[in-house]
Amino acid sequence: MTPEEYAQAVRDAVGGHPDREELLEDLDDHLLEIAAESDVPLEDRLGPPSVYAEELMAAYGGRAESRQKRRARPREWALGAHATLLRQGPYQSFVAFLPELRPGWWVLRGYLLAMLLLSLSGEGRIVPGSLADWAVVAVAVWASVWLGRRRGGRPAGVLATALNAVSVLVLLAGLMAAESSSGPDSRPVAMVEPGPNVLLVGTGAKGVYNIKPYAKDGTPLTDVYLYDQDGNPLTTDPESYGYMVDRSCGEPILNRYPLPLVELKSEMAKKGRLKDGMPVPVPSSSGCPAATPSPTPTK
Amino acid sequence: MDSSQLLKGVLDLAVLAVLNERDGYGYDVVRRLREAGLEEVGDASVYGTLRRLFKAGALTSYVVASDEGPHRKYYGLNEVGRGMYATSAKTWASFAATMASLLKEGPR
Repeated sequence: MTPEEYAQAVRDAVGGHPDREELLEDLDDHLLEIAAESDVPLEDRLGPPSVYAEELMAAYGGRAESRQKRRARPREWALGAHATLLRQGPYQSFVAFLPELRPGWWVLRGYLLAMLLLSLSGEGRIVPGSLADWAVVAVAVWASVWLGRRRGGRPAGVLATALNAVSVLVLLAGLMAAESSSGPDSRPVAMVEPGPNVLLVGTGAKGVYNIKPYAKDGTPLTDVYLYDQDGNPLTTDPESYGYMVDRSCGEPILNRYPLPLVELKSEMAKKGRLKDGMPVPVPSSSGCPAATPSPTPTK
Repeated sequence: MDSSQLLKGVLDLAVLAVLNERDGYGYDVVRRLREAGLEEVGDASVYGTLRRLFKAGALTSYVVASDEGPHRKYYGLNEVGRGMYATSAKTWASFAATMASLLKEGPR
């Protein structure tokens, strides 16, 4: 390597040093001087150009060195914190336990990636819906475990890191979706719609279509008018449960409980005899309730 | 003990001392340092130190034409450089005395 070639290699190695020009100003003359003194090649006397450049920058100082330090700082900080925490018993046992979780994570990762794949190719879901879905899950879990068990080099490591990151994102997205979809429905409370007619939709699985009030002494009450906090009548939706309000005594008041209900099935049976196809009031043997509310308990 | 580590801390002072004696060009400074006993001194380290001291305003420089080879850039101490040398030499003398006394009382 001629002095010129050596100087060029040093320049290349110095790269974008902020004082590049000043640093390398008389490098060529300096190297020519050294070369002139002996026939021994410069690489043998000064070492490789890259090492020469490193030494040069270290002696001169400047950004090249400090940038290296800055880049290493977050990692050094993390390693330092890890080392400090390792002196704590609980953290130490936690770290020791982590490798045991690895196989479980590989399986979960495979499942999550399979669900992501299935959701991308069709409808979004968090549970396999068909045999084909299960097959995809099985293949993905097998591949994930295979990748996990492989002690591969850098490409495998990068791939595993990317897959881990995607899996964590899928897991978080799935949890958020599950939370938002199961939220209001799972709450066992009576849903009240604002408006003039308040609808009691249900509590739990069965739901409310009639209300049977009782007095303190256990006597059943009739003709009890129910209103909400705003004075709106509380009504139910018996039709959704296979019942309808008995209209044999005229149009009933829908928030007067208990409601006189008849099963829809029996009404439909009568339908065949009707010309217009609509249920008609059937005389009730129990008699019609009074038009006004009465606190008198009846059987 | 690795003397190259010790050298890093005092290379500025060593270069200032050589130039305080008389002006010199890059390779001349390296050679004189080696002749003085600092055989491990690296060429790149000396060259980098000269460029840094020059940028810091401690050195003057001038080019001398040479019939045999390339032009030589000579470096010499200016006022700032002489002040820097005096201060650094004092610090070193005090430090060296402390170390010497420490070593005298050390292993017997």
